[in-house]
Amino acid sequence: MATPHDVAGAQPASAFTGATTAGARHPALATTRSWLTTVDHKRIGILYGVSAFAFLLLGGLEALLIRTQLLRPQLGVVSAEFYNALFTMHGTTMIFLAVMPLNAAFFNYIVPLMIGARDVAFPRLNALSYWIFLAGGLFLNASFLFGTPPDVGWFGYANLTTLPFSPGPAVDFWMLSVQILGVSSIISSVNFIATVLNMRAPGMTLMRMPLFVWMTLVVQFLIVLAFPAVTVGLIFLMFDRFLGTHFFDVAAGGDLHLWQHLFWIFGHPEVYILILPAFGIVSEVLPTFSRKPLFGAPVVIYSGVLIGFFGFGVWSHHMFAVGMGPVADAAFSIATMLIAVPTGVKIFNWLATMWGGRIRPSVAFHYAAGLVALFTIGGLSGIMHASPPVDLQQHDSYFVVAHLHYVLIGGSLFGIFAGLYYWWPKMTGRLLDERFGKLQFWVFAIGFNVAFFPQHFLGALGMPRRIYTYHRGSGWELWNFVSTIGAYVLGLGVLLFLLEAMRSLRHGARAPADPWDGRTLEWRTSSPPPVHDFDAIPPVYGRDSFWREKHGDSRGQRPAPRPPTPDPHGIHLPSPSFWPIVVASGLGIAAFGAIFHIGLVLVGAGVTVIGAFAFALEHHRNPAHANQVGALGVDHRKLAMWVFLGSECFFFGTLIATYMAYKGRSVVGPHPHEILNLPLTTLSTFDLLMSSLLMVLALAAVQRGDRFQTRLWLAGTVVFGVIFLGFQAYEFTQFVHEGLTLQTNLFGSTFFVLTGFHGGHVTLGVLWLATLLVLSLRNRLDTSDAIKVEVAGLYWHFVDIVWIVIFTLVYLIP
Amino acid sequence: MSTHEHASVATQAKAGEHASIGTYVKVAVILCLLTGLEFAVIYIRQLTPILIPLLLTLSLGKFALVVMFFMHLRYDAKPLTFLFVAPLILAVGIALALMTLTGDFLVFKR
Amino acid sequence: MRGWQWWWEFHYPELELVTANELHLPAGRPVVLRLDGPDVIHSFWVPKLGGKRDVIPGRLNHITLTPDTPGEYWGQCAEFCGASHANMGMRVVVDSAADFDTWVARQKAPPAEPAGAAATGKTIFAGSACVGCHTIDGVSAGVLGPNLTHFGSRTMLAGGMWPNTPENVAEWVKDPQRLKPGVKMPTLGLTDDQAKAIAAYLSGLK
Repeated sequence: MATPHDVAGAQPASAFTGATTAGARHPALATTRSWLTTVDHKRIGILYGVSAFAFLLLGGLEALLIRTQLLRPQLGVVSAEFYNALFTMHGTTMIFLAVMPLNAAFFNYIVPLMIGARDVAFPRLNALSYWIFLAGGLFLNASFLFGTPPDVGWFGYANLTTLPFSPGPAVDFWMLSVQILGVSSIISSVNFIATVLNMRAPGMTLMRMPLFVWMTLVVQFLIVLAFPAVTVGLIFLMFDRFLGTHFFDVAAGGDLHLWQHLFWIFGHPEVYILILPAFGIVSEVLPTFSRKPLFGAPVVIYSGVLIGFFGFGVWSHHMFAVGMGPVADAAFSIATMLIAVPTGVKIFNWLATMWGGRIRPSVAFHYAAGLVALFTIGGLSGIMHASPPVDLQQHDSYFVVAHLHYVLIGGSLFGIFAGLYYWWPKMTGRLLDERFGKLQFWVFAIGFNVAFFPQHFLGALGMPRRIYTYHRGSGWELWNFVSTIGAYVLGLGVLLFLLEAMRSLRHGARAPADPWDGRTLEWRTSSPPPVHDFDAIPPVYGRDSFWREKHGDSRGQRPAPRPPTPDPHGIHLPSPSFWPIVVASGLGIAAFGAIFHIGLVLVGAGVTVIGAFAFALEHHRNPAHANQVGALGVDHRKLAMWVFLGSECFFFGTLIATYMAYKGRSVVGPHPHEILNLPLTTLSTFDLLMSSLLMVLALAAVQRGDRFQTRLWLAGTVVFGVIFLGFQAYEFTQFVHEGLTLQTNLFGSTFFVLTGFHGGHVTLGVLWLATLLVLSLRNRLDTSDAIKVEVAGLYWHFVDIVWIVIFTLVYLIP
Repeated sequence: MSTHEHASVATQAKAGEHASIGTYVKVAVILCLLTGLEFAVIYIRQLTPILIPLLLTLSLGKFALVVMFFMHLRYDAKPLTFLFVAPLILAVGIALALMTLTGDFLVFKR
Repeated sequence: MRGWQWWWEFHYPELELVTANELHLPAGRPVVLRLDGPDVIHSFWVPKLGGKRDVIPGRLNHITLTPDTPGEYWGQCAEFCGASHANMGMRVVVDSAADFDTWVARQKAPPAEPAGAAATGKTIFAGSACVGCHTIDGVSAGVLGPNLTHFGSRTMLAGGMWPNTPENVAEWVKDPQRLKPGVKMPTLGLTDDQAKAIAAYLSGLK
């Protein structure tokens, strides 16, 4: 019977299947190769953490240069152009390369442990997300090496970003890297949703999950649904810059509001993506160090979910100055004020958690309590912005800079540091020095407040954002000076952490499994955990399960001990793979190619495609992978596909919305009614619908084990898919003959991009189904592979229903 | 060939796990009919005042049929339905808002 | 008004007046500014007179100001618009009703004939590339840069960057590329004397 504290290093009685990772308990000793091919969530978490911290330092350096330039008026520390690149890179780096991946480091390392799982649902996909993230981050910063760092702000408003106003590759670096980073995030979010929903240990119902896992889950939904909007916006920008479309071409009827809407439909959920993990960490740290359960945990969970959901309804509060009209302004203003309520609720719940608790003021506790105070300040300035009349003064001034840094540093970064101090022993097996940590905390906290509180004053004094200098006599001199001093102290605080971290790794005291008398399952295994996380899957007795096991519930009653969940097949460890890094490199190469040489794009695309095929087929016929049904009663892969399709709803939804918004606004012809061929398209619609029928017949055949019909119907679906593509190719060629190209007018731009991306999806589907057909023809597809056909089928049918919508809105409706 | 070919669509829904081949074929036929109807309706002048709501309704029907039957959502675990429908509704809402805010569209005249 | 990279153009349609970078308004009356964007997005912001409104190409935004106290107010572009976003300032002068009428009358009057160095300056101006971008009534009709007809009456230069003194004008005219990052005004290779002459001419355009 396993004791509450698994002994570090004890070999489990059950057999291992699959490869073990060398040096599992001492990651630093493992080979480079093992790091490059790892699929272990703990190692991937460390990779994310180390990379993100390096980018944090880089972003911090950029910030210090910015503040140095603003120390005094008319200082020439950097040129105007370089300054503009500095704030662009600082924002992009901190958001995408520092805070998000630092959060991801914790998702990766801690979430599987907290739910009593041994890894995530898709370990290789997990590695893929990391390597794609690294490719994106390196690609973005490569722009410095070429002397063309992007200089259009992290939000890249069109039309400043269009070719006439930003010739040269600077914007391309930004545009392509954000796309790459988006791909990484979306893949990762699908993975984590499947993990949290499907891989919880028996007994862990959703409401018994730790708050950090809940916030992670909400964040993953935000990521998977919000990123498509900016992906579409960036696609429009890419097409404008590379292929001459007119999405943001004012003379051709383009609307610059469109970029802002698409960007902020992503951008606002993004800020919740940045803060909710910190809220989750605080919700773990405060109860642990108050020795009290989280006050009103269900309410904190519901408010997190509400914040996530309503976060999609407030985006235009970033656009109060653009002239949307009073109705839109009022609607978004009210929605923004409403969303403050669930956030406020959490603050009160945290306060109530601490109230009456027996506080142990660890460094982690300092940071968590600090977040409660500082995020409240940031939230108050945020609420002020919710009022359009007030915002019309505050918008684009240093008041907003103060607000965003209070919520992002005082909120997100304080939360991350709380998590670092809290989980450092678990992840590294060493302790950070608590006394030095408190010094580090105060240096960081004081530096932060001195740097950013005065920026409220600067905003109130009328200082706009994103200015590389200001005048003597503007009245801004004093607070800029003070702010810069504070920034340097803040930087020192970060360095102090780095020093202590390095010392701890080398000489730090060894950490026990449960140094804090923790409440959740990760403390139930050694520090660091063995490669297989748990010798036996832990029993779950309720929320704060481990605490109950150790100390009993509120009445002191210990639960009846349950036997550990048996692992019927032994412990299966996912095997390392080098395909993730191959696929990620392909993307990186293609991105460079897009800027420098089309040949490289082909090479990169080729590497990606071949890598993706090899990745997909690597574990085909691996019996250990046959059954992946989880807690929801659904196979991981099916669950993941449905989640992905939810994301695709946003992708196509925004593409279609753009088509409709731009309908009738082309300045020159040809126009839809002059050129669309309704009878032909109706035929192709029949064809696609019938292909869906053939697809379900194929699935039924696979499920029955009928080889002949499997091949027949799969081949049929492929043929019908190719016929659809044939119709589309014919249509496109006809249109070009009749004078409609991507570049002709808004109709050409929106039509070809919308139907073209749909056609691209069909093409991918055809390739996928053809692969399954080939496997079947080689007798390598049978009943146990039915799930793969089912998942392919879901994708195929989805592409069909998107066409149903396109057919109606583009072709049928006049 | 399936033994349930002649079961009606409605009873099949209650029967449990799977739709039959027959159900699929029926759905496919309905889809074709609806598509044909959509195409025809454009040319019937008397229907012009209600053309847009009519077309949208017909498409919605096709959409729902494919999702419920071909994609099996009707027979699958409830969480899957929620996982797809919630983002779908959110996406449609945002798409409508985007069209309204950006386009010369629907409610707001500038 | 039109927001350009990186200066402000003001038209008074009923008064048939065009000026740049310095906006005069009468106190006590609401004024509606139509915001036109010929290049990229800018934002019109005079903090002490009201909130901001973005200037968006392809869209016609409006902002209404009702200044009550006469005085000089500073404004600045508040939406990042490129290299010299920080150098896109403006002066708003709120006049009493009488002072405003005086200002209008002066702006509508033809500029005084220059003498001495200023006359040389006018000749140089009229004979060089300046005329391609700038309008001085009766002399040139360029529309890509600020209207200079009554340039001498303005308190600031180059979009609120420096006080409008002959010395500063001469320096500016000699090498704008060095002084204002990204500015569209080319450095024409004028000699010191030429620059001083032009400065004398422009400063005399009151």
